[in-house]
Amino acid sequence: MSIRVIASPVRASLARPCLGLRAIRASIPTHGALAAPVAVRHLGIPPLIAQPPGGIVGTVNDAVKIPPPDKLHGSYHWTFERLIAIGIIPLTVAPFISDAALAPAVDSVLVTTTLVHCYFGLQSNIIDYIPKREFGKVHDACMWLLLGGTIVTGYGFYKYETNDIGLSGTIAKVWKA
Amino acid sequence: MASLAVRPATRLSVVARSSRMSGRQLIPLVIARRSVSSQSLTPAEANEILVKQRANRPTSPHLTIYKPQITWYLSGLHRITGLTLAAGVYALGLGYLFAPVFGYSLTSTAIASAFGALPVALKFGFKTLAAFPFTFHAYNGVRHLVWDTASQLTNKAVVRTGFTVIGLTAVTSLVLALM
Repeated sequence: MSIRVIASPVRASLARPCLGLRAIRASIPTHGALAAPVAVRHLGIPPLIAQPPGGIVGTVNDAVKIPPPDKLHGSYHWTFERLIAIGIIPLTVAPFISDAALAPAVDSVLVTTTLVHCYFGLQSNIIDYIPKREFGKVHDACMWLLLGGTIVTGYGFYKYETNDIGLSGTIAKVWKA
Repeated sequence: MASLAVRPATRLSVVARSSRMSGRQLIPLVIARRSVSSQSLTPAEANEILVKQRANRPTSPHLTIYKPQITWYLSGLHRITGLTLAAGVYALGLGYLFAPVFGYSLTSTAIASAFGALPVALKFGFKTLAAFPFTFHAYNGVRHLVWDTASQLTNKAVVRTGFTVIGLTAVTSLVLALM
């Protein structure tokens, strides 16, 4: 075994019996204003993170890095989503058929469940259309904006429920107007 | 034997080639030569040109050429109606809080009186437009929950339940709009 001293990355790519992908990929900027999006399906308005060719991170022989198993964001999230969805079904009619004394309480439960359902749904949409792999920090900002917006909307509905007639009350009033 | 086989073949080919070559040499070949110029670019500059060229290239059609099917039509509609309803919910909650900042008030009496002032046809139109996303998303949501129980997952069942949802949506939103 001879010890080879490799002075430069170009020399390294020539010395290795592979395709020299590392030298090519090293020359393509992956961040910043010159980042090249590989396949732009959307407008690409915020600077997108350039994806490695073929989506290969590292070399072709490296295993794909998968996120660690996490029940909170995995199976528990799924179950909670379905529980909320099932719970909403009777709640859509309940405020309209309950008597005047109970209606605000039932309506509050409907609004809370609806907001949680909307939060989960919008989260899925952000994951689909503003992926972290391509948008990086913008994705995180959108997630936090969603959480903040949901909490503020919840507070708004709390005010609406106490100072006004609530969601189902508004729908009934507007429908009869 | 192998060497004997090779040599005549090569000789023939050489002969053939040389005869071809001699024929060719009789005809003067005029080749017009263009001078090629090149400029040296850094990898960053080359990448910039590549990005600019990509903007000029057409993209392949996808949604416009995919065969319309009840599977992906209803799936897309489920998402679109969900987003519309969520936008409405968030608009109501945030609007009630922040409308006074802009000089408006989004109380239920204000909304009801503004809606009541519209002509009957427009009121019916708006009610249908509001009822349709809600009923479709609700019924299709039930269809999704049924699928989560690992039932009605064959192609026929998906089509059957899909048309059921469409029928129920049409009937329910009409009934709601007429109320």
